[in-house]
Amino acid sequence: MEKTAQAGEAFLDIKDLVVEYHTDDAVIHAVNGVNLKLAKGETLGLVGETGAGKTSIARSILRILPDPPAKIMKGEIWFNGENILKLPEKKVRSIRGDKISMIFQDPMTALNPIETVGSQISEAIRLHNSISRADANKQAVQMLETVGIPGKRFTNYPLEFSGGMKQRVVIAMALACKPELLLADEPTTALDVTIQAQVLEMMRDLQKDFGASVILITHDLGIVAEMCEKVAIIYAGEVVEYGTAEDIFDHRAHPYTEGLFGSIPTIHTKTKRLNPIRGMMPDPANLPSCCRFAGRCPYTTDECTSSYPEMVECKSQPHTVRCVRARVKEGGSQ
Amino acid sequence: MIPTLLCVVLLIFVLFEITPGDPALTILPSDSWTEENIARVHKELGLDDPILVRYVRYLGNAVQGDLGTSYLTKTSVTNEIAQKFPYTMKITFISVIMAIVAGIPFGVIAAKHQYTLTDNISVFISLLFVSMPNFWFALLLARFFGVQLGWLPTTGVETWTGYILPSATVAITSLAAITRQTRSSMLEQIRQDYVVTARAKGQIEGKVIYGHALKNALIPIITVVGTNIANHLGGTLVAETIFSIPGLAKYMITGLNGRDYPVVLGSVLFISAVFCIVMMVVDIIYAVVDPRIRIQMMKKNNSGRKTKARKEAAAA
Repeated sequence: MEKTAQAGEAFLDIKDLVVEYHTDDAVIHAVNGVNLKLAKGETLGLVGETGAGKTSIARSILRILPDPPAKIMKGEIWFNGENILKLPEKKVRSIRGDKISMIFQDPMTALNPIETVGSQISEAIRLHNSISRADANKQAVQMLETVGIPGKRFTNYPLEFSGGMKQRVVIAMALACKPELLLADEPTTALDVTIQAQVLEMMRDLQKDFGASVILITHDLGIVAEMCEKVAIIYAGEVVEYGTAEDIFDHRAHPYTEGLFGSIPTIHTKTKRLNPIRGMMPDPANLPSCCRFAGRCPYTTDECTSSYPEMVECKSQPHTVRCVRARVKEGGSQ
Repeated sequence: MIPTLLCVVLLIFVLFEITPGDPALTILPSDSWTEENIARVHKELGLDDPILVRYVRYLGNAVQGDLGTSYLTKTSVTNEIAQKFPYTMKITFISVIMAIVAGIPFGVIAAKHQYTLTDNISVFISLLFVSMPNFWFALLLARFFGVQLGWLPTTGVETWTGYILPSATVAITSLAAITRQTRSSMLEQIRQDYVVTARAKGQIEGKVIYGHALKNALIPIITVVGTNIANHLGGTLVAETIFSIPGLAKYMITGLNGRDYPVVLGSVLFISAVFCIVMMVVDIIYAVVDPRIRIQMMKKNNSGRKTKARKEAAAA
């Protein structure tokens, strides 16, 4: 019954996801009650600093978190009307790499160094299609050419490729089965700027061709502006602001988001020093029970340090923000 | 390989030179130990010549496949080795297979279940095997399987079943070494990103572990197996003695006890040569398993060829 109820809703719906890492001496709260929705064909950017829990969210969707130590404690991830977290392993395996696939952060280590790139791509194809090895290889060659690598390099090993080429191979592998949802975990972080632009452009083209939805994890707001329709700002394992890219860029409401934008130097004004957000993210093993940004926020009030802020809806839908100031602001303007 | 063997022979020559004891005394019955007789034997055996002369003469013969004649039995050492080595080789070979077949899965399982009971048990067993002297283990095996259960023969190798206990004896130490190496190199590999990639593709766990991770973990394991083959060649000594197998190791010990220099020299030289060959094969296996090594080797060859070609072009 729930299945049909969900079917009409979002294509991907993450509800109250909680991920913890259990180590010998601490419990690290990596993801704390994240809610996210994604429509078909849409691109969602997950933005946040290192350790904010972005990758844990993405890996939860594929259920490839390293267990132990990672545990999904709570939550639901609805994909195409099925709760991925409740599916048997075998079913999830048939989704991985087929319906949902992932592009990894570091192309240098994401490929198996002792298998040819071609066999690694055709492995993904053969896992999800019952076709012969020869046909799978043919498709893999096509995939390589789609991402701009000559098909004759099918039999080369990863060490014979440059970083940018390896990332193309990783992307080819992720797109090999024409996924409906692509999780791109900082796909360009390990690449230099010119290659970044190429890879992003290629991803955008491929997304258009394949019609996939994309979750793009990054800490580069420039990439977000270029690629994403929706943006979720992640801080200390929770969504602090969510909205369309326009809302986030032009009407940002959370002080953390402000800080992120404030730290980007602009070309028009002369900046001697960069303007970072002061302080550090709270220790994820020991999170405050109040607003998690209170320690670094320039507008902190007593309310911020005494109570936990709820998500507040802003004027322009679907813009939400987790900040008491926004409530006051929005409340005042209504 | 050749310099290694030359050094081996030289070393043994020097060792014999400085150890007390005279082969003439073992050859002659004790009632005919006269100076005259001893001098005659020395002359017959060519022991009066300086060490370098003997060394070169020995090498000259060895190159032609003649490893000398035993002082005591007056038989050709080459023939004896040819007769006895198959036993030793079989035991070594079977025991290496046993150690690999048991050790690698043990190690993989231990790595997969790190810090669980399974892991602890496997670490404990491998530690136990490492610390157990293998002559004692051999006696335990003989007593249990040979005497109490009566399943396997405890002496001789008339049938193939005779090889099981000696091989197991030899395998036990390196089994532990292989298990531990497999565990640690698997632990390193299963944390690598490409393993996550393989999982994210939807690959089944068994293939992720054995197809992707284990293949990458193999290099250090192969090294351990290679060096353990040397231990196996030595380990057969205990097995051959306890299970009365007329192998090469036993031949060598007999020779040592009787100061039968040609026997010892020949056997050691032969085993060293076998070991060198094994190491060479291991190097080749590296290249087969790991394309990184293969590509490097190919590049080196190519660049060598290129510089050669360039030089030739310059000369022309």
